[in-house]
Amino acid sequence: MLPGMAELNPGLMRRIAALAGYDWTEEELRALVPVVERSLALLERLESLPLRDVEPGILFPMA
Amino acid sequence: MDDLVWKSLAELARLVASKQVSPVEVVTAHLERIDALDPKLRAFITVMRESALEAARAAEARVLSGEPLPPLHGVPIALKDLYNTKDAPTTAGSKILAGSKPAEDATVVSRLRAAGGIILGKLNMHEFAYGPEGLNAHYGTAWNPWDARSHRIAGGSSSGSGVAVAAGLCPGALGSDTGGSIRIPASLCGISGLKPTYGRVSRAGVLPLAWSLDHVGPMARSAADCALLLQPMAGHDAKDPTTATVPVADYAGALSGEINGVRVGLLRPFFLEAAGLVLRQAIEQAVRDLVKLGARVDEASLSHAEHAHAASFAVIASEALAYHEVWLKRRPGDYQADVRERLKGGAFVSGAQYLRGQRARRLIRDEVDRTLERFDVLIAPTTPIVATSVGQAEVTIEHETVDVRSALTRFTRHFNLSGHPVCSVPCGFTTAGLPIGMQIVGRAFDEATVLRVADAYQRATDWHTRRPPVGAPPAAAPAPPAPAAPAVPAVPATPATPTTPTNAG
Repeated sequence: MLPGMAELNPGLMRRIAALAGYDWTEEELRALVPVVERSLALLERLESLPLRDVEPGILFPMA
Repeated sequence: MDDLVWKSLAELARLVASKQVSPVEVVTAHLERIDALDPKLRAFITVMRESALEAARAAEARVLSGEPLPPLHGVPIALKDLYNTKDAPTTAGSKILAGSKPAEDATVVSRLRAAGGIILGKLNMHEFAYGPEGLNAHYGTAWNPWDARSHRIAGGSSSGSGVAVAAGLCPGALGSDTGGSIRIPASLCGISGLKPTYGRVSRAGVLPLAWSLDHVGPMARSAADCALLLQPMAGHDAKDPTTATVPVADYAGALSGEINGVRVGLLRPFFLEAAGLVLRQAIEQAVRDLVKLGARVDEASLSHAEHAHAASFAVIASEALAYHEVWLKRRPGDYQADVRERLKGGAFVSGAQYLRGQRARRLIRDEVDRTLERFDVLIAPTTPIVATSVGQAEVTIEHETVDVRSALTRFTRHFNLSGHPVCSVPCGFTTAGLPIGMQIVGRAFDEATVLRVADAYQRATDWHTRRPPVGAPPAAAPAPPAPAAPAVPAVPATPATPTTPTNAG
Protein backbone atom coordinates (compact mmCIF):
# COMPACT_ATOMS: atom_id res chain seq x y z
CA MET A 1 0.00 0.00 0.00
CA LEU A 2 1.26 3.46 -0.85
CA PRO A 3 1.83 5.99 1.96
CA GLY A 4 -1.37 7.77 2.85
CA MET A 5 -3.55 5.16 1.22
CA ALA A 6 -6.58 4.07 3.26
CA GLU A 7 -6.85 0.41 4.20
CA LEU A 8 -9.05 -1.49 1.82
CA ASN A 9 -12.33 -2.72 3.30
CA PRO A 10 -15.85 -3.39 2.01
CA GLY A 11 -17.06 0.00 3.24
CA LEU A 12 -14.43 1.92 1.29
CA MET A 13 -14.95 -0.27 -1.74
CA ARG A 14 -18.70 0.29 -1.54
CA ARG A 15 -18.11 4.05 -1.76
CA ILE A 16 -15.73 3.69 -4.70
CA ALA A 17 -18.11 1.32 -6.49
CA ALA A 18 -21.09 3.58 -5.80
CA LEU A 19 -19.25 6.56 -7.31
CA ALA A 20 -18.89 4.48 -10.47
CA GLY A 21 -22.57 3.58 -10.35
CA TYR A 22 -22.35 0.02 -9.03
CA ASP A 23 -24.60 -1.19 -6.26
CA TRP A 24 -22.82 -4.31 -5.09
CA THR A 25 -23.87 -6.27 -2.02
CA GLU A 26 -21.79 -6.66 1.12
CA GLU A 27 -21.10 -10.25 0.12
CA GLU A 28 -19.96 -9.26 -3.36
CA LEU A 29 -17.69 -6.58 -1.94
CA ARG A 30 -16.18 -8.92 0.64
CA ALA A 31 -15.36 -11.37 -2.14
CA LEU A 32 -13.68 -8.58 -4.09
CA VAL A 33 -11.41 -7.40 -1.26
CA PRO A 34 -8.62 -9.95 -1.84
CA VAL A 35 -8.92 -9.53 -5.59
CA VAL A 36 -8.55 -5.76 -5.38
CA GLU A 37 -5.74 -6.04 -2.82
CA ARG A 38 -3.78 -8.21 -5.21
CA SER A 39 -4.55 -5.88 -8.11
CA LEU A 40 -3.32 -2.84 -6.22
CA ALA A 41 -0.17 -4.65 -5.17
CA LEU A 42 0.45 -5.56 -8.77
CA LEU A 43 -0.16 -2.02 -10.01
CA GLU A 44 2.21 -0.68 -7.39
CA ARG A 45 5.06 -2.36 -9.27
CA LEU A 46 4.67 0.22 -12.02
CA GLU A 47 5.68 2.90 -9.50
CA SER A 48 9.29 1.80 -9.86
CA LEU A 49 9.46 2.52 -13.58
CA PRO A 50 11.14 5.73 -14.82
CA LEU A 51 8.03 7.22 -16.41
CA ARG A 52 8.50 10.94 -15.69
CA ASP A 53 9.18 11.89 -19.33
CA VAL A 54 7.26 9.09 -20.97
CA GLU A 55 4.04 9.82 -22.79
CA PRO A 56 1.35 7.14 -22.80
CA GLY A 57 1.26 4.60 -25.60
CA ILE A 58 -2.08 5.95 -26.76
CA LEU A 59 -2.25 9.21 -28.65
CA PHE A 60 -4.87 10.77 -30.88
CA PRO A 61 -3.61 11.07 -34.44
CA MET A 62 -5.57 13.54 -36.55
CA ALA A 63 -4.46 12.01 -39.83
CA MET B 1 -13.33 -37.87 -47.54
CA ASP B 2 -11.54 -38.23 -44.20
CA ASP B 3 -8.26 -37.46 -45.90
CA LEU B 4 -9.55 -34.06 -47.00
CA VAL B 5 -9.83 -32.79 -43.45
CA TRP B 6 -6.08 -33.11 -42.93
CA LYS B 7 -5.08 -31.28 -46.09
CA SER B 8 -3.45 -27.90 -45.72
CA LEU B 9 -5.27 -24.77 -46.82
CA ALA B 10 -2.79 -24.41 -49.66
CA GLU B 11 -3.35 -27.97 -50.82
CA LEU B 12 -7.14 -27.67 -50.61
CA ALA B 13 -7.05 -24.48 -52.67
CA ARG B 14 -4.83 -26.22 -55.24
CA LEU B 15 -7.09 -29.30 -55.42
CA VAL B 16 -10.17 -27.13 -55.89
CA ALA B 17 -8.56 -24.92 -58.51
CA SER B 18 -7.36 -27.94 -60.47
CA LYS B 19 -10.84 -29.51 -60.31
CA GLN B 20 -9.54 -32.57 -58.49
CA VAL B 21 -11.98 -31.99 -55.68
CA SER B 22 -15.18 -30.01 -55.39
CA PRO B 23 -15.68 -27.33 -52.73
CA VAL B 24 -18.87 -29.21 -51.86
CA GLU B 25 -16.83 -32.32 -51.06
CA VAL B 26 -14.40 -30.28 -48.96
CA VAL B 27 -17.12 -28.56 -46.97
CA THR B 28 -19.12 -31.78 -46.56
CA ALA B 29 -16.07 -33.65 -45.26
CA HIS B 30 -15.53 -31.00 -42.60
CA LEU B 31 -19.22 -30.85 -41.66
CA GLU B 32 -19.28 -34.62 -41.24
CA ARG B 33 -16.26 -34.47 -38.97
CA ILE B 34 -17.84 -31.68 -36.96
CA ASP B 35 -21.00 -33.80 -36.59
CA ALA B 36 -18.93 -36.76 -35.41
CA LEU B 37 -16.56 -35.03 -33.00
CA ASP B 38 -17.91 -31.69 -31.91
CA PRO B 39 -20.54 -32.97 -29.48
CA LYS B 40 -17.54 -33.85 -27.32
CA LEU B 41 -14.99 -31.24 -28.39
CA ARG B 42 -17.37 -28.24 -28.29
CA ALA B 43 -15.24 -26.22 -30.65
CA PHE B 44 -18.22 -24.63 -32.39
CA ILE B 45 -20.93 -22.38 -31.00
CA THR B 46 -22.69 -22.12 -34.37
CA VAL B 47 -22.19 -24.44 -37.34
CA MET B 48 -23.20 -22.55 -40.48
CA ARG B 49 -24.17 -25.71 -42.34
CA GLU B 50 -26.66 -24.32 -44.87
CA SER B 51 -24.79 -21.15 -45.76
CA ALA B 52 -21.50 -23.06 -46.03
CA LEU B 53 -23.01 -25.63 -48.39
CA GLU B 54 -24.66 -22.89 -50.40
CA ALA B 55 -21.34 -21.06 -50.70
CA ALA B 56 -19.65 -24.34 -51.63
CA ARG B 57 -22.14 -24.97 -54.44
CA ALA B 58 -21.59 -21.45 -55.73
CA ALA B 59 -17.84 -21.98 -55.53
CA GLU B 60 -18.17 -25.24 -57.45
CA ALA B 61 -20.14 -23.48 -60.19
CA ARG B 62 -17.44 -20.82 -60.46
CA VAL B 63 -14.75 -23.48 -60.83
CA LEU B 64 -16.73 -25.15 -63.59
CA SER B 65 -17.30 -21.81 -65.34
CA GLY B 66 -13.58 -21.41 -65.88
CA GLU B 67 -13.48 -17.94 -64.30
CA PRO B 68 -10.26 -16.88 -62.55
CA LEU B 69 -10.31 -18.04 -58.93
CA PRO B 70 -9.21 -16.12 -55.83
CA PRO B 71 -6.47 -17.67 -53.65
CA LEU B 72 -8.68 -19.34 -51.02
CA HIS B 73 -11.42 -20.38 -53.41
CA GLY B 74 -13.58 -23.12 -51.93
CA VAL B 75 -11.54 -23.45 -48.75
CA PRO B 76 -13.48 -23.65 -45.47
CA ILE B 77 -12.47 -21.56 -42.49
CA ALA B 78 -14.09 -20.84 -39.15
CA LEU B 79 -14.24 -17.75 -36.97
CA LYS B 80 -13.90 -17.13 -33.28
CA ASP B 81 -17.39 -16.07 -32.30
CA LEU B 82 -16.51 -12.42 -31.87
CA TYR B 83 -16.17 -11.67 -35.57
CA ASN B 84 -19.37 -10.11 -36.84
CA THR B 85 -21.07 -12.11 -39.56
CA LYS B 86 -24.16 -10.96 -41.41
CA ASP B 87 -25.48 -14.50 -41.78
CA ALA B 88 -24.97 -15.95 -38.30
CA PRO B 89 -25.20 -14.76 -34.69
CA THR B 90 -22.12 -13.33 -32.98
CA THR B 91 -22.25 -14.21 -29.29
CA ALA B 92 -18.68 -13.60 -28.04
CA GLY B 93 -19.33 -16.80 -26.13
CA SER B 94 -21.81 -14.99 -23.94
CA LYS B 95 -25.41 -15.27 -22.85
CA ILE B 96 -25.70 -11.51 -23.13
CA LEU B 97 -25.20 -11.57 -26.90
CA ALA B 98 -26.90 -14.90 -27.59
CA GLY B 99 -28.85 -14.56 -30.81
CA SER B 100 -27.26 -11.20 -31.62
CA LYS B 101 -27.26 -10.77 -35.41
CA PRO B 102 -24.87 -8.13 -36.74
CA ALA B 103 -25.92 -6.18 -39.81
CA GLU B 104 -22.65 -6.69 -41.62
CA ASP B 105 -19.49 -8.73 -41.73
CA ALA B 106 -16.32 -7.68 -39.96
CA THR B 107 -13.84 -6.25 -42.46
CA VAL B 108 -11.60 -9.33 -42.34
CA VAL B 109 -14.58 -11.64 -42.84
CA SER B 110 -15.56 -9.70 -45.96
CA ARG B 111 -11.98 -9.88 -47.17
CA LEU B 112 -11.71 -13.62 -46.57
CA ARG B 113 -15.01 -14.25 -48.33
CA ALA B 114 -13.78 -12.15 -51.27
CA ALA B 115 -10.63 -14.29 -51.29
CA GLY B 116 -12.81 -17.36 -51.75
CA GLY B 117 -13.03 -18.58 -48.17
CA ILE B 118 -16.18 -20.38 -47.05
CA ILE B 119 -17.26 -19.72 -43.47
CA LEU B 120 -18.00 -23.02 -41.72
CA GLY B 121 -19.13 -21.57 -38.43
CA LYS B 122 -18.45 -19.60 -35.28
CA LEU B 123 -16.06 -20.96 -32.70
CA ASN B 124 -16.15 -21.30 -28.94
CA MET B 125 -14.13 -18.97 -26.73
CA HIS B 126 -13.66 -17.77 -23.19
CA GLU B 127 -16.66 -15.54 -22.57
CA PHE B 128 -16.01 -12.10 -24.13
CA ALA B 129 -12.37 -13.19 -24.65
CA TYR B 130 -11.66 -12.40 -21.00
CA GLY B 131 -9.71 -15.47 -19.90
CA PRO B 132 -6.68 -17.49 -21.01
CA GLU B 133 -8.05 -20.96 -20.25
CA GLY B 134 -10.90 -21.01 -22.77
CA LEU B 135 -13.61 -21.68 -20.17
CA ASN B 136 -17.21 -21.19 -21.16
CA ALA B 137 -20.14 -21.71 -18.81
CA HIS B 138 -22.78 -21.01 -21.45
CA TYR B 139 -21.74 -23.21 -24.39
CA GLY B 140 -19.51 -25.69 -22.59
CA THR B 141 -15.75 -25.54 -22.31
CA ALA B 142 -13.90 -26.72 -25.41
CA TRP B 143 -12.02 -29.99 -24.97
CA ASN B 144 -8.31 -30.12 -25.77
CA PRO B 145 -8.08 -32.88 -28.41
CA TRP B 146 -4.63 -33.99 -27.29
CA ASP B 147 -6.11 -35.77 -24.28
CA ALA B 148 -9.10 -37.79 -25.39
CA ARG B 149 -9.70 -39.23 -21.94
CA SER B 150 -9.67 -36.30 -19.53
CA HIS B 151 -10.96 -32.79 -20.03
CA ARG B 152 -8.04 -30.42 -20.39
CA ILE B 153 -8.20 -26.76 -21.31
CA ALA B 154 -7.58 -25.79 -24.91
CA GLY B 155 -6.17 -22.44 -23.85
CA GLY B 156 -7.93 -19.20 -24.54
CA SER B 157 -9.46 -17.17 -25.24
CA SER B 158 -9.62 -18.54 -28.81
CA SER B 159 -10.22 -22.06 -27.50
CA GLY B 160 -12.59 -23.23 -30.23
CA SER B 161 -10.18 -22.01 -32.91
CA GLY B 162 -7.36 -24.05 -31.40
CA VAL B 163 -9.46 -27.17 -31.01
CA ALA B 164 -11.17 -26.99 -34.40
CA VAL B 165 -7.91 -26.62 -36.32
CA ALA B 166 -6.04 -29.23 -34.25
CA ALA B 167 -8.84 -31.80 -34.54
CA GLY B 168 -9.35 -31.40 -38.28
CA LEU B 169 -12.75 -29.70 -38.00
CA CYS B 170 -11.47 -26.86 -40.17
CA PRO B 171 -8.10 -26.24 -41.85
CA GLY B 172 -7.82 -22.66 -40.66
CA ALA B 173 -9.51 -20.27 -38.28
CA LEU B 174 -9.36 -16.74 -36.98
CA GLY B 175 -8.64 -15.88 -33.38
CA SER B 176 -8.04 -12.68 -31.47
CA ASP B 177 -5.21 -11.89 -29.07
CA THR B 178 -5.21 -9.27 -26.29
CA GLY B 179 -2.81 -10.97 -23.88
CA GLY B 180 -2.02 -14.17 -25.77
CA SER B 181 -5.39 -15.48 -26.93
CA ILE B 182 -4.19 -16.69 -30.33
CA ARG B 183 -0.82 -17.98 -29.19
CA ILE B 184 -1.91 -19.73 -26.00
CA PRO B 185 -4.49 -22.03 -27.65
CA ALA B 186 -2.12 -22.50 -30.59
CA SER B 187 0.51 -23.70 -28.13
CA LEU B 188 -1.77 -25.88 -26.02
CA CYS B 189 -3.46 -27.40 -29.09
CA GLY B 190 -0.28 -28.00 -31.13
CA ILE B 191 -1.02 -25.67 -34.04
CA SER B 192 0.41 -22.46 -35.47
CA GLY B 193 -1.03 -19.05 -34.68
CA LEU B 194 0.01 -15.58 -35.74
CA LYS B 195 -0.58 -12.38 -33.80
CA PRO B 196 0.24 -9.75 -36.42
CA THR B 197 1.64 -6.30 -35.66
CA TYR B 198 -0.88 -3.97 -34.01
CA GLY B 199 -2.37 -2.07 -36.93
CA ARG B 200 -1.59 -4.70 -39.58
CA VAL B 201 -5.10 -6.23 -39.60
CA SER B 202 -8.39 -4.42 -39.16
CA ARG B 203 -10.35 -4.91 -35.95
CA ALA B 204 -13.49 -3.34 -37.45
CA GLY B 205 -16.46 -5.56 -36.69
CA VAL B 206 -14.54 -7.64 -34.17
CA LEU B 207 -15.97 -7.35 -30.65
CA PRO B 208 -13.34 -5.82 -28.36
CA LEU B 209 -11.83 -6.90 -25.09
CA ALA B 210 -9.38 -3.98 -24.83
CA TRP B 211 -9.17 -1.77 -27.91
CA SER B 212 -5.56 -0.71 -27.50
CA LEU B 213 -4.29 -4.27 -27.07
CA ASP B 214 -6.61 -6.34 -29.29
CA HIS B 215 -5.02 -8.02 -32.29
CA VAL B 216 -6.76 -10.32 -34.77
CA GLY B 217 -5.00 -13.04 -36.70
CA PRO B 218 -4.97 -16.48 -38.28
CA MET B 219 -4.57 -19.94 -36.76
CA ALA B 220 -3.76 -23.00 -38.87
CA ARG B 221 -1.74 -26.21 -38.80
CA SER B 222 1.30 -24.56 -40.35
CA ALA B 223 2.95 -21.18 -40.59
CA ALA B 224 2.58 -21.43 -44.38
CA ASP B 225 -1.19 -21.64 -44.00
CA CYS B 226 -1.14 -18.71 -41.58
CA ALA B 227 0.66 -16.75 -44.31
CA LEU B 228 -2.01 -17.70 -46.81
CA LEU B 229 -4.78 -16.50 -44.48
CA LEU B 230 -2.98 -13.33 -43.46
CA GLN B 231 -2.55 -12.13 -47.03
CA PRO B 232 -6.14 -11.03 -47.71
CA MET B 233 -6.66 -9.94 -44.09
CA ALA B 234 -3.76 -7.50 -43.94
CA GLY B 235 -3.83 -3.85 -44.91
CA HIS B 236 -5.36 -0.51 -44.11
CA ASP B 237 -9.07 -0.25 -43.40
CA ALA B 238 -10.82 3.10 -43.15
CA LYS B 239 -13.21 1.53 -40.64
CA ASP B 240 -10.35 0.91 -38.20
CA PRO B 241 -8.29 4.07 -37.63
CA THR B 242 -5.53 2.08 -35.94
CA THR B 243 -4.71 0.20 -39.13
CA ALA B 244 -1.50 1.26 -40.80
CA THR B 245 -0.83 2.24 -44.39
CA VAL B 246 2.47 0.33 -44.35
CA PRO B 247 2.62 -1.76 -47.56
CA VAL B 248 1.58 -5.40 -47.23
CA ALA B 249 4.29 -7.92 -48.06
CA ASP B 250 3.88 -11.08 -50.14
CA TYR B 251 3.75 -13.46 -47.21
CA ALA B 252 3.63 -16.74 -49.11
CA GLY B 253 6.35 -15.46 -51.40
CA ALA B 254 8.57 -14.79 -48.38
CA LEU B 255 8.58 -18.46 -47.40
CA SER B 256 11.86 -19.38 -49.04
CA GLY B 257 12.84 -22.02 -46.51
CA GLU B 258 16.12 -20.12 -46.25
CA ILE B 259 17.20 -18.66 -42.89
CA ASN B 260 20.96 -18.86 -43.29
CA GLY B 261 22.48 -15.94 -41.36
CA VAL B 262 19.24 -14.93 -39.68
CA ARG B 263 20.01 -13.48 -36.24
CA VAL B 264 17.93 -15.12 -33.53
CA GLY B 265 17.76 -13.80 -29.96
CA LEU B 266 16.87 -16.41 -27.37
CA LEU B 267 14.95 -14.76 -24.54
CA ARG B 268 16.27 -16.61 -21.52
CA PRO B 269 15.76 -14.36 -18.46
CA PHE B 270 12.12 -14.17 -17.40
CA PHE B 271 11.02 -16.30 -20.38
CA LEU B 272 12.93 -19.55 -20.99
CA GLU B 273 14.23 -19.81 -17.44
CA ALA B 274 10.68 -19.69 -16.04
CA ALA B 275 9.32 -22.54 -18.15
CA GLY B 276 8.99 -26.15 -17.04
CA LEU B 277 11.92 -28.46 -17.70
CA VAL B 278 10.48 -30.32 -20.69
CA LEU B 279 9.40 -27.05 -22.27
CA ARG B 280 12.88 -25.59 -21.80
CA GLN B 281 14.38 -28.69 -23.37
CA ALA B 282 12.02 -28.40 -26.33
CA ILE B 283 12.98 -24.76 -26.92
CA GLU B 284 16.68 -25.55 -26.60
CA GLN B 285 16.29 -28.32 -29.16
CA ALA B 286 14.48 -25.87 -31.43
CA VAL B 287 17.44 -23.51 -31.07
CA ARG B 288 19.76 -26.30 -32.18
CA ASP B 289 17.45 -26.98 -35.13
CA LEU B 290 17.56 -23.32 -36.12
CA VAL B 291 21.35 -23.29 -35.87
CA LYS B 292 21.48 -26.31 -38.18
CA LEU B 293 19.46 -24.27 -40.65
CA GLY B 294 22.10 -21.55 -40.56
CA ALA B 295 20.59 -19.17 -37.99
CA ARG B 296 22.96 -17.30 -35.68
CA VAL B 297 21.58 -17.60 -32.18
CA ASP B 298 22.60 -15.48 -29.23
CA GLU B 299 21.09 -14.69 -25.85
CA ALA B 300 18.68 -11.76 -25.50
CA SER B 301 16.78 -10.20 -22.64
CA LEU B 302 13.97 -7.72 -22.04
CA SER B 303 14.52 -5.89 -18.77
CA HIS B 304 10.94 -4.59 -18.55
CA ALA B 305 9.40 -8.04 -18.84
CA GLU B 306 8.57 -8.17 -15.16
CA HIS B 307 6.38 -5.07 -15.54
CA ALA B 308 4.31 -6.45 -18.37
CA HIS B 309 1.83 -8.16 -16.06
CA ALA B 310 0.97 -4.95 -14.21
CA ALA B 311 0.86 -2.80 -17.35
CA SER B 312 -1.30 -5.31 -19.15
CA PHE B 313 -3.65 -5.62 -16.18
CA ALA B 314 -4.06 -1.86 -15.86
CA VAL B 315 -4.96 -1.49 -19.51
CA ILE B 316 -7.20 -4.54 -19.95
CA ALA B 317 -9.10 -4.13 -16.69
CA SER B 318 -9.90 -0.49 -17.51
CA GLU B 319 -10.75 -0.88 -21.17
CA ALA B 320 -12.77 -4.07 -20.66
CA LEU B 321 -14.83 -2.46 -17.92
CA ALA B 322 -15.45 0.58 -20.11
CA TYR B 323 -16.89 -1.68 -22.83
CA HIS B 324 -18.96 -3.79 -20.43
CA GLU B 325 -20.08 -1.09 -18.02
CA VAL B 326 -23.74 -0.98 -18.99
CA TRP B 327 -24.19 -4.75 -19.12
CA LEU B 328 -22.34 -5.18 -15.84
CA LYS B 329 -24.80 -2.81 -14.20
CA ARG B 330 -27.93 -4.18 -15.84
CA ARG B 331 -27.22 -7.87 -16.37
CA PRO B 332 -24.44 -8.91 -13.97
CA GLY B 333 -25.95 -12.35 -13.45
CA ASP B 334 -25.64 -13.13 -17.14
CA TYR B 335 -21.82 -13.21 -17.03
CA GLN B 336 -19.96 -16.37 -16.06
CA ALA B 337 -18.46 -16.00 -12.61
CA ASP B 338 -14.78 -15.53 -13.42
CA VAL B 339 -15.44 -12.92 -16.10
CA ARG B 340 -17.86 -10.99 -13.88
CA GLU B 341 -15.29 -10.91 -11.11
CA ARG B 342 -12.55 -9.70 -13.45
CA LEU B 343 -14.77 -6.95 -14.80
CA LYS B 344 -15.67 -5.80 -11.29
CA GLY B 345 -11.99 -5.56 -10.43
CA GLY B 346 -11.62 -2.95 -13.16
CA ALA B 347 -13.75 -0.54 -11.16
CA PHE B 348 -10.88 -0.14 -8.69
CA VAL B 349 -8.24 0.79 -11.26
CA SER B 350 -7.85 4.56 -11.38
CA GLY B 351 -7.34 6.67 -14.46
CA ALA B 352 -3.81 7.43 -13.34
CA GLN B 353 -3.06 3.72 -12.99
CA TYR B 354 -4.46 3.05 -16.45
CA LEU B 355 -2.22 5.70 -17.94
CA ARG B 356 0.74 4.44 -15.97
CA GLY B 357 0.17 1.12 -17.75
CA GLN B 358 0.03 2.89 -21.09
CA ARG B 359 3.21 4.81 -20.31
CA ALA B 360 4.97 1.61 -19.24
CA ARG B 361 3.88 0.20 -22.53
CA ARG B 362 5.93 2.75 -24.41
CA LEU B 363 9.07 1.69 -22.52
CA ILE B 364 8.26 -1.92 -23.29
CA ARG B 365 7.76 -1.26 -26.99
CA ASP B 366 10.92 0.83 -27.28
CA GLU B 367 12.98 -1.88 -25.62
CA VAL B 368 11.68 -4.58 -27.97
CA ASP B 369 12.44 -2.28 -30.92
CA ARG B 370 15.99 -1.72 -29.66
CA THR B 371 16.52 -5.43 -29.08
CA LEU B 372 15.35 -6.18 -32.60
CA GLU B 373 18.03 -3.88 -33.96
CA ARG B 374 20.50 -6.62 -32.97
CA PHE B 375 18.31 -9.55 -33.97
CA ASP B 376 15.96 -10.41 -36.82
CA VAL B 377 13.69 -12.40 -34.53
CA LEU B 378 13.43 -13.28 -30.85
CA ILE B 379 12.31 -16.67 -29.60
CA ALA B 380 10.73 -17.73 -26.32
CA PRO B 381 8.37 -20.40 -25.07
CA THR B 382 4.73 -19.51 -25.71
CA THR B 383 3.64 -20.71 -22.28
CA PRO B 384 5.54 -21.99 -19.22
CA ILE B 385 3.09 -24.91 -18.88
CA VAL B 386 1.18 -27.32 -21.07
CA ALA B 387 -2.58 -27.86 -21.01
CA THR B 388 -3.93 -28.34 -17.49
CA SER B 389 -7.18 -29.97 -16.40
CA VAL B 390 -10.35 -27.93 -16.62
CA GLY B 391 -11.02 -26.49 -13.16
CA GLN B 392 -7.38 -26.74 -12.08
CA ALA B 393 -6.44 -23.40 -10.50
CA GLU B 394 -2.77 -23.98 -9.74
CA VAL B 395 0.15 -25.80 -11.28
CA THR B 396 3.66 -26.58 -10.08
CA ILE B 397 6.55 -25.57 -12.31
CA GLU B 398 9.65 -27.25 -10.98
CA HIS B 399 9.23 -26.41 -7.28
CA GLU B 400 7.07 -23.33 -7.54
CA THR B 401 3.29 -23.38 -7.39
CA VAL B 402 1.70 -20.75 -9.59
CA ASP B 403 -1.83 -19.98 -10.65
CA VAL B 404 -2.72 -21.30 -14.07
CA ARG B 405 -4.28 -18.09 -15.35
CA SER B 406 -1.33 -15.82 -14.85
CA ALA B 407 1.12 -18.53 -15.91
CA LEU B 408 -0.60 -18.90 -19.25
CA THR B 409 -0.12 -15.24 -20.20
CA ARG B 410 3.30 -14.77 -18.60
CA PHE B 411 5.28 -14.95 -21.87
CA THR B 412 2.70 -13.64 -24.32
CA ARG B 413 1.30 -10.37 -22.94
CA HIS B 414 4.63 -8.56 -23.38
CA PHE B 415 4.11 -8.52 -27.15
CA ASN B 416 0.54 -7.28 -26.96
CA LEU B 417 1.92 -4.32 -25.06
CA SER B 418 4.75 -3.86 -27.56
CA GLY B 419 2.55 -4.59 -30.59
CA HIS B 420 5.20 -6.68 -32.37
CA PRO B 421 4.23 -9.64 -34.59
CA VAL B 422 4.57 -13.11 -33.09
CA CYS B 423 3.98 -16.58 -34.46
CA SER B 424 3.57 -19.54 -32.13
CA VAL B 425 4.57 -22.90 -33.59
CA PRO B 426 4.62 -26.37 -32.05
CA CYS B 427 8.14 -27.40 -31.02
CA GLY B 428 7.65 -30.61 -29.05
CA PHE B 429 5.43 -32.75 -26.88
CA THR B 430 5.55 -33.94 -23.30
CA THR B 431 5.71 -37.66 -22.61
CA ALA B 432 1.96 -37.45 -21.92
CA GLY B 433 1.51 -36.27 -25.49
CA LEU B 434 0.70 -32.64 -24.79
CA PRO B 435 2.00 -30.00 -27.22
CA ILE B 436 4.61 -27.33 -26.47
CA GLY B 437 4.74 -24.02 -28.33
CA MET B 438 7.49 -21.58 -29.27
CA GLN B 439 7.06 -17.88 -30.01
CA ILE B 440 8.93 -16.23 -32.86
CA VAL B 441 8.82 -12.44 -32.46
CA GLY B 442 9.68 -10.03 -35.25
CA ARG B 443 10.05 -6.34 -35.98
CA ALA B 444 6.93 -4.25 -36.36
CA PHE B 445 5.21 -5.01 -39.69
CA ASP B 446 7.80 -7.68 -40.52
CA GLU B 447 5.42 -10.63 -40.41
CA ALA B 448 7.21 -11.90 -43.50
CA THR B 449 10.42 -12.65 -41.58
CA VAL B 450 8.52 -14.16 -38.65
CA LEU B 451 6.64 -16.47 -41.02
CA ARG B 452 9.79 -17.27 -42.99
CA VAL B 453 11.59 -18.44 -39.86
CA ALA B 454 8.52 -20.35 -38.64
CA ASP B 455 8.07 -22.01 -42.01
CA ALA B 456 11.76 -22.92 -42.33
CA TYR B 457 11.59 -24.48 -38.87
CA GLN B 458 8.50 -26.46 -39.86
CA ARG B 459 10.14 -27.68 -43.08
CA ALA B 460 12.90 -29.14 -40.90
CA THR B 461 10.71 -30.60 -38.14
CA ASP B 462 7.47 -32.55 -37.99
CA TRP B 463 5.84 -31.41 -34.74
CA HIS B 464 3.15 -29.53 -36.66
CA THR B 465 2.18 -32.63 -38.64
CA ARG B 466 1.17 -34.71 -35.62
CA ARG B 467 -2.51 -35.41 -35.15
CA PRO B 468 -4.36 -35.59 -31.84
CA PRO B 469 -5.97 -38.83 -30.66
CA VAL B 470 -9.52 -37.89 -31.55
CA GLY B 471 -11.61 -39.38 -34.30
CA ALA B 472 -10.29 -42.88 -33.69
CA PRO B 473 -12.83 -45.62 -32.87
CA PRO B 474 -14.09 -45.14 -29.30
CA ALA B 475 -12.57 -47.26 -26.55
CA ALA B 476 -14.74 -50.09 -25.21
CA ALA B 477 -14.47 -48.92 -21.63
CA PRO B 478 -13.52 -45.64 -19.97
CA ALA B 479 -9.79 -45.36 -19.58
CA PRO B 480 -8.07 -44.06 -16.46
CA PRO B 481 -7.08 -40.38 -16.41
CA ALA B 482 -3.93 -39.53 -18.28
CA PRO B 483 -0.87 -38.87 -16.13
CA ALA B 484 0.20 -35.30 -15.67
CA ALA B 485 3.04 -34.06 -17.81
CA PRO B 486 6.35 -34.58 -16.02
CA ALA B 487 7.59 -31.09 -16.77
CA VAL B 488 4.65 -29.49 -15.03
CA PRO B 489 3.35 -31.91 -12.44
CA ALA B 490 -0.23 -30.96 -11.83
CA VAL B 491 -1.48 -30.36 -8.34
CA PRO B 492 -4.87 -31.88 -7.55
CA ALA B 493 -7.65 -30.09 -9.35
CA THR B 494 -9.17 -27.31 -7.32
CA PRO B 495 -12.10 -25.05 -8.04
CA ALA B 496 -11.21 -21.92 -9.97
CA THR B 497 -10.67 -19.29 -7.32
CA PRO B 498 -9.61 -15.68 -7.46
CA THR B 499 -5.84 -15.62 -7.75
CA THR B 500 -3.41 -13.23 -9.34
CA PRO B 501 -5.04 -10.50 -11.45
CA THR B 502 -5.35 -11.88 -14.91
CA ASN B 503 -4.69 -10.12 -18.19
CA ALA B 504 -6.32 -12.94 -20.11
CA GLY B 505 -7.57 -12.26 -23.55
